[in-house]
Amino acid sequence: MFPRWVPGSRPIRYCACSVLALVVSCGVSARGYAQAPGTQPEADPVPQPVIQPPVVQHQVAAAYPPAALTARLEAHVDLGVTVEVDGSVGAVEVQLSGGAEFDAAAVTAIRQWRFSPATRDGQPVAARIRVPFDFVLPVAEPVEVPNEGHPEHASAPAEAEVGPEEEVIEVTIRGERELRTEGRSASDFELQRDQLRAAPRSEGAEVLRSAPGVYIGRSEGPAVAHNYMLRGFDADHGQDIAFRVGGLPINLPSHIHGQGYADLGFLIAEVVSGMTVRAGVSDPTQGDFAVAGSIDVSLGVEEDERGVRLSTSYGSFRSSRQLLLFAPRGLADETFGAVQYVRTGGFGENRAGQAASALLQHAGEVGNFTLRAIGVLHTARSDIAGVLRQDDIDSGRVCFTCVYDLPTAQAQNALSSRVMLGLFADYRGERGDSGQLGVWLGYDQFRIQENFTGFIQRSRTLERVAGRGDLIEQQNRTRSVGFVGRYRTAPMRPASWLHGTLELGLEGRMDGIEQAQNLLDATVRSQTWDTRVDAGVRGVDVGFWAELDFHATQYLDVRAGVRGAVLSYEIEDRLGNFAPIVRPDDAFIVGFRRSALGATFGPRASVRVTPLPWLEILAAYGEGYRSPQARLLEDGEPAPFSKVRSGDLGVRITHDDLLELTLGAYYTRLSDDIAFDAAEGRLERIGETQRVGATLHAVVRPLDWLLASLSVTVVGATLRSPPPASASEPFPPFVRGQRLPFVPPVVIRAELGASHVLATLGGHPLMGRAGVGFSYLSARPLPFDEAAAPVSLLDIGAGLQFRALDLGVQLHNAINTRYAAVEYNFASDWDPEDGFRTRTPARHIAAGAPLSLMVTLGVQL
Amino acid sequence: MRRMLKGVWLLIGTLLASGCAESSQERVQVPFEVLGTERVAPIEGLGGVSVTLTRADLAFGPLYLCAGAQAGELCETARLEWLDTVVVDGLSDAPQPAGDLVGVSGAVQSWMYDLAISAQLTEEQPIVLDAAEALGGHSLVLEGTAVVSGITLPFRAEVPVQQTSVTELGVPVVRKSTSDEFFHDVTGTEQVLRVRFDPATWIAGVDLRPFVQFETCAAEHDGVVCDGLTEWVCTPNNAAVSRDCSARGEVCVANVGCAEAAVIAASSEAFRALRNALTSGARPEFVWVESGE
Repeated sequence: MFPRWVPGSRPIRYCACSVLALVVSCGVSARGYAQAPGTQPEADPVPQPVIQPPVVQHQVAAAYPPAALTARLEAHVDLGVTVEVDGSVGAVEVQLSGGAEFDAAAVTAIRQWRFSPATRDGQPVAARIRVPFDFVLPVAEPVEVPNEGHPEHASAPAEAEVGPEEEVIEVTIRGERELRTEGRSASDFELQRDQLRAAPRSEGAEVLRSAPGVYIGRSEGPAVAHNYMLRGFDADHGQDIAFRVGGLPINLPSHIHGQGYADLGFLIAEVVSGMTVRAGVSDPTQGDFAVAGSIDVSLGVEEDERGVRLSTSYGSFRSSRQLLLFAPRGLADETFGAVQYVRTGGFGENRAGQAASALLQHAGEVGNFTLRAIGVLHTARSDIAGVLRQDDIDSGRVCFTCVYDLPTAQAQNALSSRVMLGLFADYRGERGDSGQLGVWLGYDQFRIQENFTGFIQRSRTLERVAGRGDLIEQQNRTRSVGFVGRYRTAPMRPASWLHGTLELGLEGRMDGIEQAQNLLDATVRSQTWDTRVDAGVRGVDVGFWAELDFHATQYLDVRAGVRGAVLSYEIEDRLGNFAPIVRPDDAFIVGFRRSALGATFGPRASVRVTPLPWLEILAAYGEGYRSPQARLLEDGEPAPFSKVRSGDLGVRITHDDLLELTLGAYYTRLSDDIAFDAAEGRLERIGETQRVGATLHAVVRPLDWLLASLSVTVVGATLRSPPPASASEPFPPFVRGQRLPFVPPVVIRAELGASHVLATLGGHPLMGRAGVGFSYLSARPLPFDEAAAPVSLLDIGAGLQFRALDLGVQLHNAINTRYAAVEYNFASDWDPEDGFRTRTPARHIAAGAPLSLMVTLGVQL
Repeated sequence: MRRMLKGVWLLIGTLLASGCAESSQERVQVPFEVLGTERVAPIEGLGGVSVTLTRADLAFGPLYLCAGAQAGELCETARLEWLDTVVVDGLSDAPQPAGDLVGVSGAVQSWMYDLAISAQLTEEQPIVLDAAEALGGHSLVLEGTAVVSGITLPFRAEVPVQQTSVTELGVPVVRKSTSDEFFHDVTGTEQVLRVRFDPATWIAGVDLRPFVQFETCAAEHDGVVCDGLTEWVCTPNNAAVSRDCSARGEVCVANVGCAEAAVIAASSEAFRALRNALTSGARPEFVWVESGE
């Protein structure tokens, strides 16, 4: 569905990209006049031309037709393909049909392939080759073999019909274990490597920007998770999006800095091989935090990029990045090791930071199992400039990218570290059944010092102590262990026109969380002057699901399932019952221990109608949940879940590889939403919310070397029943019917990527590439009826690649937009000496990064 | 296809329109005026004392209007605020423009203010703001005459009103009490908010009678006593010395002697009464003047 396209990919000797085992042998003969060496007439006085056949540069997997897959059909398709002088695929002819569906899949795939052209005496010439596709069911997957020296490989030579005039390019492809899944709804998108790399990225996690409706930004430096948005949800640091990377769950439950805190700072763009975005909740595998949806990032290095890569980057603001990537050739795509170190002086005051990441993954096959081990290690520390009052910027008190000249502001910083390990076993049964079993464990520690409100806090634990600076310190440590297991039956065929499978799944995790929140006095060596939170949480989350996946004829696919979860918590609130002012004469030991348990169930269903081969009509509905912030639970409370109900309706139009257009509309209702509260520096409940929206996503490949994509998300997000005014909160920032704060009604993302052979030097192509990415966020509503300014960001990148060398230049925020990474509206006071305490809500911003340049030099060995 | 695209754009337009729907809170700015109360007739003070004020300057501000019924600690976020100070001429009922209240529309049910000496963000020394600075570091300067038992007594009071060890930390010292009636739905269309002070309410509870004395030196008495307008300096050996204060154009103030006026000292009951009147007894009147009125 999403063909791959790799700007700047290197010539390959063999590729691994197929859905299933498929073996390609390419014969070539120069069209018209090119002849292979050794075939010239002996009497020809002209010296024999030197002919080089086309070399595959980029291969795209063919999608196994789902109906054929469940029906356990195999096929062989031979294609005759013209490789034009520029390396593009010209005419394609089905020489041997395997059936309409298989033929279409093969043609769709081959049209996205790219070659370095055949050459005659060093000059590019058109060539005709034959490409056989074998569609083989999983059990018959061959093990990868190198292309040279293994003519005995069962599949390869059998399909090679090499004529006497033909050079042979033999490409052996190892089948992948994961089947490409079809989208369940119009809000499901599978982004392949070419799309993720079309536009320049300043860091690995920015690959998420390619996903329709997604926007990510940074407002608290490289040691704190990004701010995420997904089609009408301000997911803050991850509260509404379930993230998985390489199968590892990233969200942290009951994190003190934000429920579902998900730091993707460890991602290394070079090893991101794909991304599956499921907006909405129609997939029963979506569990906790899949409120707006879920994003699964897969890791791997494709064959054309394997080897050892050293890369060094330097740029504006004393920023640098060093990368070492090791992906031995001949091993599975998923096998690699990568280490990254980044450092920046920051684009303004108090923004310096460093981060280091290591990702290691190894995959191998044992019988019917693919075993995969993954390890993630990440640590980062950065200073934080924090937020500034807009009126202070306007008055010139503080510059846009500066920090307040106060110790309590300059002491803002964050440190985070995380280690995760996982072991996964994928099973492919001989009868077509499949399964997965995985275990993982993780340890995360997080500490931040941040001041949002200046000097307005008063101590609750020390009598008559106030005004020492609202430098909030948050600490969180989470130890986690979890597992996942699922089994999908072999295809069942209750009727001749109906076939399908049943999947059962179970997953769980246990978390031990220690967290604290204090106020620090930056002028006295960060002395603690108030203690707000001191708690320990033990949480258990067990989820289970079942799903029927049936296909009725070739026109209708129906999936129906249910997802359930049971969550329990034990909370040791070590500051519970602390009330120094109300009952000062009471004598008691502070502390409040409690427990809670809750369960939730919800349907997940989707329907896909395919009336025409190029048209899909998709409808989906699901009910999901988000776990509660455990520390806020009362004893015996049935662990309330934030329940989300989400429905989608849309169409998807596919025209070969030229166009993929998706139009969809959706509705979601969330029973109990949360939003950022600056006074506490954390998320607080804001009541029931709803979103009504529409999405458009288009991917166009007008030329074989050009990719353009556009996504537009429009949403009306409103508060249905915010908490009413109360004695303790007489002036709530939200009122019924108000537009949901921080959610942009319109999000637009446009990307353009091009890659082309600029010249051939010494028989080696000089590849040029360019990419552009543009993001637009419309004005976002803020509490108390303010609105954040719209944001427009343009990134531009270009590069050259010749043999082992790669030189790239990237401009981020190329039009130097002065924008706020985040904007809030709340009361603060940063001038305790003037005698006036301001109490009305005021605009606060954290500056976004200005224009920056980064130059990268890479060597591929 | 065209129909489908048309439908999508229609939906997008509808959503955009709904996304632009007005919410019920808006930024507002309301002009703000202060004024006093002109008194032609003397004020009847405690004990039937007739008081005539000649100066009643109050240092006022900042002011906060709160959404909840209770101000103070529960007004961390105010709906409207006026961050300035002004010296209010308490004897003039001419409105005195003081700037604008700024904030967010909606109901207000309570208020709180400082009298130009603020300690909302400090835990030690309060900060004297401009208006109080102009009054010599005081919140109130009161001058006038009181007729006590036929004697006309000029008096003067200088009262700083600030946080003490018993006041709530971090909030203004003057707050609406729960028994006061105060409600207004601020829409931003108001022409002006006027806050009217009445000095009579400040002085009404102040007992000025102790400043006038009709005593003579008694045995063992040491010090100054007044017998009407006559000052007596008493000694233990009954060698009393007297003088007529009126001859000097002065009055005799109890325990002080001849003086131009009675100064209400910080240690006196009258001072405490005056301060209490400012902080919790005498309430200003809040008048919302709507456009067109």
